[in-house]
Amino acid sequence: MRIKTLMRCSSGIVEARESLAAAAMRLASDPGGCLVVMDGGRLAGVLTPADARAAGPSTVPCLAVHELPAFTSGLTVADAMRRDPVIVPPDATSSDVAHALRTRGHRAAVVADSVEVMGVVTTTDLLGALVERLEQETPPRLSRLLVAVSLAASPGRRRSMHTALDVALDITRRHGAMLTLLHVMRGLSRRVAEGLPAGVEADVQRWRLAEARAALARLVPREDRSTTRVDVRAGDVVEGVLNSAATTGAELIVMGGRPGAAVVRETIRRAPCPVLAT
Amino acid sequence: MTRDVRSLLRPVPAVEPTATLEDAEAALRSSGGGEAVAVVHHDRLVGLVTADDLAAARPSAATTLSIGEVRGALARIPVESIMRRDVATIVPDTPIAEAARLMRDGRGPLAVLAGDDLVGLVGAAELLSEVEREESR
Repeated sequence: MRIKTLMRCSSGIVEARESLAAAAMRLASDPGGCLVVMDGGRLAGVLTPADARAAGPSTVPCLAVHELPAFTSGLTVADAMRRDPVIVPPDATSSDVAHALRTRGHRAAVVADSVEVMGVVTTTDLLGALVERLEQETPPRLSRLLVAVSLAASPGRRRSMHTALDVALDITRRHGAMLTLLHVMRGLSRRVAEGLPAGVEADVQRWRLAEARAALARLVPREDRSTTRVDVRAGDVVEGVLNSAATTGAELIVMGGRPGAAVVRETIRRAPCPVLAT
Repeated sequence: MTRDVRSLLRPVPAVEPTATLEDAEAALRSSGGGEAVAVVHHDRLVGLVTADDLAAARPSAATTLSIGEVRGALARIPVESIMRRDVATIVPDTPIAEAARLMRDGRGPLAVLAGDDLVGLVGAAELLSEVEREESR
């Protein structure tokens, strides 16, 4: 594929003397993007969000306190940009550009002919094209599922949990997917926590986590163990499900409970993927 | 046939959560320019620190600290104070298209787990190699 069919023609341009903070704000809306840096009409470099972050104030508070705002606000794009940009002609192939970016450790290449800058192409753009190409060859299937499992003892909840787990395992097998079994533990009640000697609460919490992991692992049939993993979190159930779904990149969340139940409703409202309530 | 990420895996440098930023930078250098260092405790992955995270932790040119003071701080600050705790994980069977999709969406680098064992890392460099390979097919 020729890079001229993939490049971003309307890439942002920024002057080297401009404020780094302002340029970082422009980049914030496009984490996979980059700005072309010009200096006196000539190409001077490129600026990606990572470059801006690296040159900005330290992310460690005990180091950042030694960076006076009056000084950091004086940082310019020139302080952060990559000065040796990868420059490719418009008829370069995506393979040529990928090779140049990989070997030189850059994230973006400037597409230019002998006269002017025509656009940019980033690692994100190349990966997007790779995804499209591979998905054309193999239609997408579900590859990661999350099932929220309650280890509570009530018979009703256990029945609902087993239904959700059975459904999730069935989909996982048919799609050749990976399944995460999640249990979200509630924290210790304040009365119990206050009754524990200092330092013991953390030990109790570790013990509860280990017990929950073992209980989840026992729920998985032997033939499904290689395609399942367990995840135990503490705190709010909906937050736990959403965080686990984000971490595992789940494409489908399966959970027990009526679709009208508050936890299910809230999960459906906020989930980044479809939710199947059984 | 759908190719999975096994063919892209490379060893991951690993440090303990109490290792310092200086240790993590050294581990990254010794890996020959890798993208991230795994943070492992009791043989379990607990986080990831990328080269970008380490660069962002360093003070800017506007710092009032001397070079020696910065060096001293980097030799004291533990990696657990900057590590990413919510690491995107995949399994060795994950199709390359899926890994590329996660990376395209800004979820990487991706830790590859076989059960609880960390067996590798897939980052931009590995997937750019795949772009090169696909093009030459």
